[in-house]
Amino acid sequence: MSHDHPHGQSAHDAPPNPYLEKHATPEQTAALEKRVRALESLLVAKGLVSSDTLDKLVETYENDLGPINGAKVVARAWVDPAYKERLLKDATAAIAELGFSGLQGEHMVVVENTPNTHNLVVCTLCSCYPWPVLGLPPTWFKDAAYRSRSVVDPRGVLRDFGLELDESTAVKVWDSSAEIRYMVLPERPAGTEGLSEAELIALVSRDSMIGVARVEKNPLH
Amino acid sequence: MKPTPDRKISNMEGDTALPRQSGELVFHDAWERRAFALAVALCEQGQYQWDEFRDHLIAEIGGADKTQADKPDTPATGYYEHWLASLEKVLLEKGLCTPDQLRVGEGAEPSLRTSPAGGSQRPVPRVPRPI
Repeated sequence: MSHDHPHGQSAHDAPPNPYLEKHATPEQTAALEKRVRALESLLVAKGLVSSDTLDKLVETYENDLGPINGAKVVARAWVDPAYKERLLKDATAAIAELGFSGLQGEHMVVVENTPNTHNLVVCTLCSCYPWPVLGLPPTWFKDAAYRSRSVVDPRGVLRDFGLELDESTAVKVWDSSAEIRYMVLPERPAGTEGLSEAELIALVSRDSMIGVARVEKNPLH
Repeated sequence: MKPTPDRKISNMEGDTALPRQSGELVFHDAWERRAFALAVALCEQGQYQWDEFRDHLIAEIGGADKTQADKPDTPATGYYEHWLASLEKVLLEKGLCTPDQLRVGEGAEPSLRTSPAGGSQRPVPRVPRPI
């Protein structure tokens, strides 16, 4: 689930990126398509690029950025109990098993959500974040209000994100640092027993791996 | 060898930050993907430094923001329109193509063009703001 529920002016809510919406009209889009096609043809004709290279580049950036790496780790842990055990024991090594590296000496620790315990990750000092697995931190993660309030009122913070926890569920807050980066292993949603690993990956959102959301069986989009 | 994203590109911040949702890139149309890849590919080949491209992008986006003083949060022009204009400028700057060559693809939309290589000249808003 994304955090596009109403926050009002809550400081947890990063201003929406104004560029996420499409601006061009269909006519403008057609003109832009033409302009870029001509530019690409020109540069290919000059031998500066090949269309094949461009395809591969787009694929790399679309697939390798963002929380897809983290989602793969989560889905693997859901389907493979032995992997999950290794992940909870030594996350740095277990994540590297899947080919994700780039951590700069810091350790990864993965904390598991259960029916009785919910985990929330924060960095109270700055914005320590496991970018190789989760991509860029969301703007609100760096926000002073999120950083301080997560410690004193985690349930309130979660409520702001639209996550109401049962009183009986314990909330643990994990403070990332330069040495240790935390990631949440969210609970596998009920009713997903028949899904493949690839289908499960698609369900895992960034927010669920920070701990401000659950993984939903049917994400909103 | 599997290529990996260049952090200089993927981690740009502020106004020039790549539009991303939940960490992943957001492209609206096929041309945005192509324009993205063209700029990255030419930089990877050493045709220019990423910062040279980015300087144009900062100027393009900064210039556009100023024209929207009444609605500062609502840019009239999409991110990759700025990206494309920046790419064309850096290509001209590096002599990788000529103004005439760039004009080939623009036939249908003279109003969408910025003045070529006009370093200090601010482009006029190219796209009317949709409601």
